[in-house]
Amino acid sequence: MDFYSAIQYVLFVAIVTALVKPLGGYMERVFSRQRTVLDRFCLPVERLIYRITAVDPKAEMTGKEYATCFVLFGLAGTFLLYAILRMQQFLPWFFPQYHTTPLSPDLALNTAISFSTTTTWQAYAGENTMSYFSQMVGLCAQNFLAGAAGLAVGVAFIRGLARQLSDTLGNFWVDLTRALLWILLPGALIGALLLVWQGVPMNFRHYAVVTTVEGTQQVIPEGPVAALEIIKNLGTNGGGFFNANGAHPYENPTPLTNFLEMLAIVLLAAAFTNTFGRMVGEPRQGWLLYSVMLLLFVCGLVFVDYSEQRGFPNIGNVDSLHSRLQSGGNMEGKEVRFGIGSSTLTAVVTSNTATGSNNSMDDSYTSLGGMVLLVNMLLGELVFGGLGTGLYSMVMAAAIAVFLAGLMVGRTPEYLGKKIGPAENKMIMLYALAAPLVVLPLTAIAVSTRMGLSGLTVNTGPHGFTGILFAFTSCFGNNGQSFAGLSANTPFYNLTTALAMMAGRFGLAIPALAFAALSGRQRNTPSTSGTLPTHSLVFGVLLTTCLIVMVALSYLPALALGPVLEQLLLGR
Amino acid sequence: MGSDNRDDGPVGNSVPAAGDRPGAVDLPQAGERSVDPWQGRNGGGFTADRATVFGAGLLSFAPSAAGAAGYDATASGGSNLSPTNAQLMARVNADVAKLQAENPGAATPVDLVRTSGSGLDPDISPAAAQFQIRRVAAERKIPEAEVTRLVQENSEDRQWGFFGEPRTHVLELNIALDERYGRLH
Repeated sequence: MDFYSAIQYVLFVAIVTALVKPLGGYMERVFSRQRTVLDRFCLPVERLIYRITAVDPKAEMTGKEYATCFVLFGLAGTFLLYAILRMQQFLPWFFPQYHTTPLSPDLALNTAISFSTTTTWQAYAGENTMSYFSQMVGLCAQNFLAGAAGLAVGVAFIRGLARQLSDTLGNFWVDLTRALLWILLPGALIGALLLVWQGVPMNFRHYAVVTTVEGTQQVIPEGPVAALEIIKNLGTNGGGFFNANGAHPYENPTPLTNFLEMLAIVLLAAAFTNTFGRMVGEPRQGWLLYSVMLLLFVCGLVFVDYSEQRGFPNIGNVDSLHSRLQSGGNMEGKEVRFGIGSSTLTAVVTSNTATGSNNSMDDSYTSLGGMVLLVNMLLGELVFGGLGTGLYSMVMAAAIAVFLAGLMVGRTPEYLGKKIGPAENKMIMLYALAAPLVVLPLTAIAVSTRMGLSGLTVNTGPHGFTGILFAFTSCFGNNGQSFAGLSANTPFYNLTTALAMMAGRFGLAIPALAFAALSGRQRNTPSTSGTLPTHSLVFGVLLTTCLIVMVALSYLPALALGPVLEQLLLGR
Repeated sequence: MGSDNRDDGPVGNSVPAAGDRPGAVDLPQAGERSVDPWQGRNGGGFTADRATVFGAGLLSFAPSAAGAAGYDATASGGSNLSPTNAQLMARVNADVAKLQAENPGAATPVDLVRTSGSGLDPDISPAAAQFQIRRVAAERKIPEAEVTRLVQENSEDRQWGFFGEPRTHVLELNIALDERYGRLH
């Protein structure tokens, strides 16, 4: 590991850790409707919104009502975005000579579902498909709305664990509005200004035609990039303005923008653990979850950095050693300004946080590097994870760990004073089984049919298999990253990935909300000397081990056919 | 040495007005915000223009997989070739052979034989720049120390001392070479 990369990683972790408490506290005050610094600006707007939409902010919803609102909101967003995309040629800022890729029904549907579930899987290239209007009013808007919806579900989940003898989990519309007005919009405004300062474009100019030094002509796309760029990261969405996403010099011009964008992704998700701890009355519970996340995050950094640094294929007379003048390593698919260090940071951050706004091409990663990114997603997008969703993913995993511990010592498992009985177990089972039940069969269908295999246009063999597994895992986890060598703009992939995305979004949120609702109805059991403490080092180790074992049990055969096989073949 | 029709760019560097020199890049004129690090900086396709770069006293960019001919800004993207892909091996071997023939001596730095993630990377590593100094000096018949000095002027260290990697801005460097020593193409 390069010295300067190490500084960057340490600084990143230090800044995130330092901001967990202040941001966590701020978010807690926002969602508990206590006083905050932004009230002067946000309260009038909030009141106006409730007046226009006829929402009663004091009315609370049961778990079922909350989930229904969440699903309907997502579907409404999908329909709206589908309409905008299909009518793109009649809307402003459509350039027929450049926007040449048609938005077919299956592509538009896939994109609509993708953006309204925060997946932002892109089976298209932005600069030759999407008009500025679609990017702004369609995609960027969904980034905000879907991100806020995820955060709302996260808060409702926490309330279920925090409350007792209560039927309600809060008001979805209030949580959504507050997430937007107090958290996402201010954060996006500040972040966008920082990005513009560093050179990210923000204009509505027609594509520029320039004459180059060698005398040829070059067409350069422009657009309202900064606006999309910040919320794509802040809302843990990940879909870029251009095809190259974070590798594009317009989306990510300098190493500093890269660092800031990665901070934007992780800060809210990490701080949410502190919000969780505060709302359940025990901040150290939040810190325990954060520590487990941090451990897994740092492991990912170390493995990927190591693998990519030594990674370029063994070809004579190529100097890929690290030196004062070059970063060296596996630079295929990576940018010079980022080298190995910044690329690793981004790859690990984006694969862990269901974001998918990578600044290097995952398909060109080494087998071990790509495997770590895949495992990050298979863990369940809970190492910081998506906005709101990461937290309940980690808590559901903690519930499994508690359950296993309870089996070992013969006591009824309980988490934060809430007993995990048969009803709760059913929800946990639904939650835990959803991923393998969706990802593995879809991968199997794709690799055994001609429709699926026809997507492998660049890399075949074990690496191709990894790419397909990666695609479905990414879509289920609402990540959106891909091995871009997979040609996924076919009806087969558009429909199967859309299915995976919806399963991952609603198929996880609904059991989680049900679990929270069941917990909310219980009375808290006072902790005794026999209660398993869930804030201790022992529990942290137990939780980490549980996570690794669950991934291994479900996915080791698949990993053996993909990255492991590829690595073994390389050694011959 | 230089033309006398110069506009001063917003950061005080002399920017020749595009009208003077046919084929010059239209860089932002005075008064326009030029925080854009990439606007028009790109020099054109590697494969398409290899002939003009070699022999023209210019440094070449890395290969690009953006579009069919490379450096197509309306089709950004990488090659997505995995390290175990035979196509990658073949491409790298071919590029290494060509570059070694043109720039004999040291081993080829890795970023000159790889395609970047965006296909539009405006930078090369200082090692890659150093690799090409001898060829460029020989083509222009000027001392290597002069080219080295220009390379250093157009290179940037890690941002704020530790973010990212050191890099050389190829387009600015090529424009500086053309300004100071005349065009060969």
